Amino acid sequence: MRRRRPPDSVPGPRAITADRAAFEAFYLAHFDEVLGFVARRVADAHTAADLTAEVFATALDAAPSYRGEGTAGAWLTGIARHVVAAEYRRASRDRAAVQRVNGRRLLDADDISRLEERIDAEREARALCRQMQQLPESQRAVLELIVIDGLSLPESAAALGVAPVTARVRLHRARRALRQFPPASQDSRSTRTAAAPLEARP
Amino acid sequence: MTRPIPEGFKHRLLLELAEQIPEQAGGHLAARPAVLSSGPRSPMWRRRPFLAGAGAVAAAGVIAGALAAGAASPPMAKAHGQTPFTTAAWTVTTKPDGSVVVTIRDTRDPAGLQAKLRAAEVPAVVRVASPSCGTFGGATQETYSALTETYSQYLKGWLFVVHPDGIQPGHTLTILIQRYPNGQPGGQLEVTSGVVATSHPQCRPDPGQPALPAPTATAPSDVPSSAVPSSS
Repeated sequence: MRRRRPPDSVPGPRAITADRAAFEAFYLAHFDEVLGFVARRVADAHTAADLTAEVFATALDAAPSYRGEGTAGAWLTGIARHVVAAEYRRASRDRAAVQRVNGRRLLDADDISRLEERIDAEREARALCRQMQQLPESQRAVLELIVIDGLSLPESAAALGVAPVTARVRLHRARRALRQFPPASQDSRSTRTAAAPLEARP
Repeated sequence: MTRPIPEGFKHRLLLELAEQIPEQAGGHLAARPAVLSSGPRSPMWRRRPFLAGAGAVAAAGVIAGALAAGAASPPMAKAHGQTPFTTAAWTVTTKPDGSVVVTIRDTRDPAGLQAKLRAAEVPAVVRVASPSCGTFGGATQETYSALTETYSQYLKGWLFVVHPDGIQPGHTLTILIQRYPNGQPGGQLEVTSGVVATSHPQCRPDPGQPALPAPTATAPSDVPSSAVPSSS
């Protein structure tokens, strides 16, 4: 006889390729944060759907090599960062050739409307991201994760695959550099938002 | 600030991604020698990895079927080519490939579930655990070829894919449902399942488990076993 009870908690990445229930629990626990990460960086509902799908598809591929460093959320954020960065690097017509799950095909009219609301709600974050474009990549990455995505310093370090002390140094340099740049956005709300959260959570 | 979540996309994407899991899950099964080496290697047993994969594929569709039956609109169910028979507690759906998808979300109406499974050509006995019914005894290895199951956080219930052709004539699929612990309404839904080598399995007290109080959530077939669309 096989006695089955529901899983007690959200499974870690290594469990998700072995068990559909584990993947479902993992997916439902992290969907919002992945979609939020994407919506803070792209302004198009179809692209957001594609990238969200790509993040989870990549996570399925990468899960067997997860070594347990950092939280599952930080690990997934690291994947999301690579997926979005890759999107920036290639034209959308190329994306269609490489993506494994076509996210936009899964959208209906209601989904698009709700995704656009979600994307609209993140417009200040996207303005902040644009402002940070002037920073070197290594500094911008850590600042984005902390200021835009609300990760702690250790979580950001785990997502970037660097030591916490390295992330702290980069954050310090990014904050110092950013203060010397004129705001790139004309949206005054973004500038105010940018000033407030520059301190990392412990 | 309220940020609407695109639920439709969220769940469709889950189904799409779940389709990618079977081949990787097959690798996982192959890496479990303790399980694979137990018991004699009957022809049925050797078929297990393939059947497990097939079950996984079906179970990805399972969630779709369950969503269609339990949470989505009837047109969606028709779009999947399925005819769900539902009560609030369970659903039984026969798929085109002959497999039978069962969802169990509550302990109510075990007799209705049993009748529906038999109508779907699954020789099944379904009981709710009680002080006098805690086990049907040892299961055969057909359990592994005839049955795959997974817990759906979304449905808050169990999803089974039953392959009737994996059950030998004269053998029976047994399903024992209870709330854990103590059969109370708020407890976790626990399902014990297996194929036993008899056509008349007898449920008896389980000496390995503490005695259950008289179940309060297991009552009575207060939901008719006829087709009633689920509202949850």
